[in-house]
Amino acid sequence: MTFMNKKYSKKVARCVKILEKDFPSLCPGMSTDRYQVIYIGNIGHTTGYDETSILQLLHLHQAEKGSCQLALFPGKQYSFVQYTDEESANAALKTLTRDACTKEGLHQHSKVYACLVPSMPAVAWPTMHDCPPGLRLLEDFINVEEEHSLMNLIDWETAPSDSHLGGSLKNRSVRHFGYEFEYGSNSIDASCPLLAAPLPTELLAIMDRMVKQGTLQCMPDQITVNRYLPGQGIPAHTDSHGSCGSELASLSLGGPVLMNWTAPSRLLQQQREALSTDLPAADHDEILSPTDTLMGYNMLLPPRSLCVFSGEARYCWQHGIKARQYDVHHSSDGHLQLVKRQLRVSFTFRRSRRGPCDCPYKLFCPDQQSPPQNTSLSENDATAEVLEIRHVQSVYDNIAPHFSDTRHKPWPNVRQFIDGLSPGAWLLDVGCGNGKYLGLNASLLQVGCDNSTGLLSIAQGRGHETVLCNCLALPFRDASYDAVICIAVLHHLASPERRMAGLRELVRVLRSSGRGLVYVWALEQTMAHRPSSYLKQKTSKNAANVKTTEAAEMNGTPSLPVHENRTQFVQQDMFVPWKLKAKTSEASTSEIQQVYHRFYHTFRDGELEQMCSNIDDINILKSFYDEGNWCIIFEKK
Amino acid sequence: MKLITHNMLSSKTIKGVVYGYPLIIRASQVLTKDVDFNPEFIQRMIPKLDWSALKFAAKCVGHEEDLPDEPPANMADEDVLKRIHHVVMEVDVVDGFLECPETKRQFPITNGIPNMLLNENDV
Repeated sequence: MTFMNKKYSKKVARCVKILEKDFPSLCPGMSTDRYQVIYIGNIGHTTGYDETSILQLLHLHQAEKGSCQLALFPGKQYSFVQYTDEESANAALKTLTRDACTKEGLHQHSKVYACLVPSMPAVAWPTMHDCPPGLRLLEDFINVEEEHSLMNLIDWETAPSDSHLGGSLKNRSVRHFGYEFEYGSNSIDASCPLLAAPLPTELLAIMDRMVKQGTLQCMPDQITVNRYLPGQGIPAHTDSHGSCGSELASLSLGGPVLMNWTAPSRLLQQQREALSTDLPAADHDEILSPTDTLMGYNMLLPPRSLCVFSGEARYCWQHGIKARQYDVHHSSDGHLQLVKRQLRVSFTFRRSRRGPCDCPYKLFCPDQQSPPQNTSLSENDATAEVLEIRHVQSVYDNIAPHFSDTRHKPWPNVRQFIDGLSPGAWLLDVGCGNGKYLGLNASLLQVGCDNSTGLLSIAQGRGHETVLCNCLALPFRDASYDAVICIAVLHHLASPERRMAGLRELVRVLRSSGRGLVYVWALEQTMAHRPSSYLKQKTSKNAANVKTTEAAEMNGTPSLPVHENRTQFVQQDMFVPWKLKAKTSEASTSEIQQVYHRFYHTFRDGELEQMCSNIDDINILKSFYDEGNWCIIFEKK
Repeated sequence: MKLITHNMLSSKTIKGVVYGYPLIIRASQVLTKDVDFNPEFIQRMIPKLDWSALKFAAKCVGHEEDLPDEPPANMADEDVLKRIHHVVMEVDVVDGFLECPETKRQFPITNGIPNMLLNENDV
């Protein structure tokens, strides 16, 4: 058997397995020559086929379609075709099989596996809600010339001078005008206009049109421009109730895209009833019903159209775009169509507002439900937090793959602690990074958490159970773990209060007699005249590359010295550089070095012990120095 | 996110929240991933579980029938252990969100990772 044949039979085996799994009753029996339905493996929605291209594959023209019936399944890599008689079905099977073997079919990139099955399965496409009230689509709101000029309005190649003006997000690029639309909270800070990025004058005429035609009630003062490459998307979200006005409008340019709307159906029903009867909403127990299911609505946004959100669609529904290469669209004549994604640019127009939201959708309005929140971080604490976000969290996100490549070997004393836990214990790794300490001891239940999405995705990809959170607010119940480890994390917290709070959080989630292990970087990198492994890794190359510099103020955070890598520390609080080599372009072999500065507070001898002694409900079991780190094992009383 | 993880998750770090437990799961994608069955592991886990929160989580994702109403008294019944193993270790919420039962604040779950980061409105 040739290599190609081997590969083909492997694919066939996979197709058969999928059929067996999804439709156990359809597995071919003895008398297949009497069947009229063909299962076509590897040909389906997820492999880029729609009705038209499958008909092509079957050498059928649209006019002949009446002789057979197709079934495509959402999210599946197969399809079925039913003929009116056995003869046609057998002939079609021969055609498909011949094409697969001679590789002369239309779609040579996909290996087709086809077989006859007893009957046609029913297709279960998700039931769709009607168009959410308040959602309107105005086709051809702008003309082709306007579309062309707006497509070229933004220079996407040049990164903005300030991250508040936009940048590259995980799944798209974005620019803000007027105000920043902050995607973490989906809100606008009306007290911080973007003086460097006023609304582009090119858009004024279009905005004027929106108001004059009565599309929008008031002139927008904020614009977000999103650029989506094929395969990119935006997570489902509702724009903040309090900081954005009652209407939003999104102008689409470039390729068409399917936008998805979702809302919890029962809650929405209650909201509608409350509004129509003017009665107070049902009590909370009802509202919080966990059995509520999401209902959905999809709309294809064609280029040059304006999609306007108001009322329920604006306040109660979430909207988003799935990150995928094709959209499945139910065309008006009832056919399923695959729409290939192309470059798409959208302009979203919003009006900023201040004060709590007063929308009528009280069950969906965060401002009208939770008690008023009146807390602000102290100024020092806010500075420390900004420092951690800019010089810890975002740095790790930027260097995640490179950093992860350098972190694979577990430290022996940490491994020993994990190995020593009793079987069945629940272990939490706070600051788990790429997850190198998860999975060392299979008898434990292990969960890792970190505030770097980049590192966490690597850990999750290795099959570990992970949660994205900040170590100062662990999202776990009190006393939920038998053991907690926190390795090389607390030294990234930028004030003594925050380091103490981080330690208290570790203790809070521990059960009584649960054990904790903490490692922090030591100021003292030489013990008993023996340099730590950190110092020993110094090479002549490092030494030549790195110059000690006194850092000027960095991005508005306090001025701190930059540490010279692989040398003894001169002070406790500093920036430690991480040098990322990046190829400037695929063709070029020259590498540029991007330097990221991570904040560190290195711990003095006794500092960690002192912190632990401030916590009444723990006993220190062991306190030690390990290769340039101060380490403590404690037990909760 | 496996349902075992949901059993520990709480939104009590949001300002003003008393218990923040159990979080409501609003799943848009739930997968079942094979995990090796280890009866001892499950036996040791059962006493530590908050059973009513687990029942609630299973109900949220449509696996309520797979669990007994009470933690099993007979730990030797391998059939029951297997069903618990399935719900707790194999059912995986890949996409959707978690919701604080008190404030209704929503936490997205993306690629199986719950995003429990708070913003300044929460603290």
